[in-house]
Amino acid sequence: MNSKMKTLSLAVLGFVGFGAAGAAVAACPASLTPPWTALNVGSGGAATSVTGGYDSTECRLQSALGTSGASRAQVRDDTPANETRYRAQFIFDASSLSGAGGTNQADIFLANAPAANNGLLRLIQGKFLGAGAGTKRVQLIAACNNGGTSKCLGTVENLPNQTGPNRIEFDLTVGAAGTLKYWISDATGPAPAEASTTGTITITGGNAGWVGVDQAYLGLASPSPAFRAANAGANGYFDQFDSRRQTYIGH
Amino acid sequence: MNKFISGLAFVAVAFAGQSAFAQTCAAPGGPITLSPSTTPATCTAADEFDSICGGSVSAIGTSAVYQVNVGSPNNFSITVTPGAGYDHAIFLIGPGCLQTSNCVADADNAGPGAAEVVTIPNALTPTLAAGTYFLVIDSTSTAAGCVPSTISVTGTLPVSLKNFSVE
Repeated sequence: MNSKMKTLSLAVLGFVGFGAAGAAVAACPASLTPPWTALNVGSGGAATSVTGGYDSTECRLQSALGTSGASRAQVRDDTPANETRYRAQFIFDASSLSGAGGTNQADIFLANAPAANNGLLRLIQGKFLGAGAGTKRVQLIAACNNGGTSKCLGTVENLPNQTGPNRIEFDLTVGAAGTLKYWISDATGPAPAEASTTGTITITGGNAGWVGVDQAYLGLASPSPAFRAANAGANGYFDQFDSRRQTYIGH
Repeated sequence: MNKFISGLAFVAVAFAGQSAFAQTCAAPGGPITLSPSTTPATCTAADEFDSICGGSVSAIGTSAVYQVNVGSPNNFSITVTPGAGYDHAIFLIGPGCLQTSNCVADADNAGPGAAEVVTIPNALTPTLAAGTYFLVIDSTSTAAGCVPSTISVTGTLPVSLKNFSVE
């Protein structure tokens, strides 16, 4: 049975996420909590709900970082409860961010365990990356018991839509035979079929020690020095966060 | 009964020699209080913090941890100056000394070799409850190679008066 833990798409619920309850005209809420558990901003970061949501939604999350390496502009979801199967999807629009430089990096999504294992708290870390040619890219990193860094790296993927919204979905299984599959597509088009994954990450040694997903963050955070130089004050946009236990989300 | 006294004070704690502490959460350096003290230390830090501030911020460097005892009311700044051009970030976390602990203040603006300063109160923490907190010196930009630092505390950081009698 599908158990939807949290849906923050205005198109689905109409009154949560980044939109305003009962708004007859374009007006986005001053507060993101609820439906999010908490707003997590600091060190010059700013996160607000603004007009211009995607796929017929009214509002979206606007996230911008400052000049500190500890800058963060995120919303936090405490709904997950040590989930051993965690599927989530969100829209990420990097059109206002510069993609210049391969060391131009910042986090965009985090799925954390209830406690650190092997010194690592994050079951999934999603990152935005630039490139020498200015191509905007993303990478997923998964916790794994590989006997070394405890991090298994996904392929660095070009964002299919460099100038607009992209849909990012993943399917994490936590256990001795953990798995991570992901799909990245242009959000202005149809979502890929479930069988057509963009990539998978081999969870070497499994990920059972991390128990399950207990908390998620969405939004920009932890800018590298190059990101701060190129993108301080620039906006990344997020929308339509949806997390479930079982079924493919798609579109 | 303990009483808290507060007053304007300046403490410069230089960490430059060998430490009896591991500078970890289990065996932190310090405690940093108003009492003038010098705790010599080399950089023996491990990498306890892959992330910090409730797991929301990446901390890719090695970490050195110092205990900070805070009374109430309080109003203080902690300045950490690294040697040898290290680009550190500093975080005051608590309660607890975990990756999931809250950040009550943090700073990572100054760049390599420059001092970072955290101040209480701030926008994130208008009021800081009395208790035990931890100063974590880490880095968001340099994966390895922590260096000895100089830690200075200014302001009101009340200390607990353990014994008081009138004869």
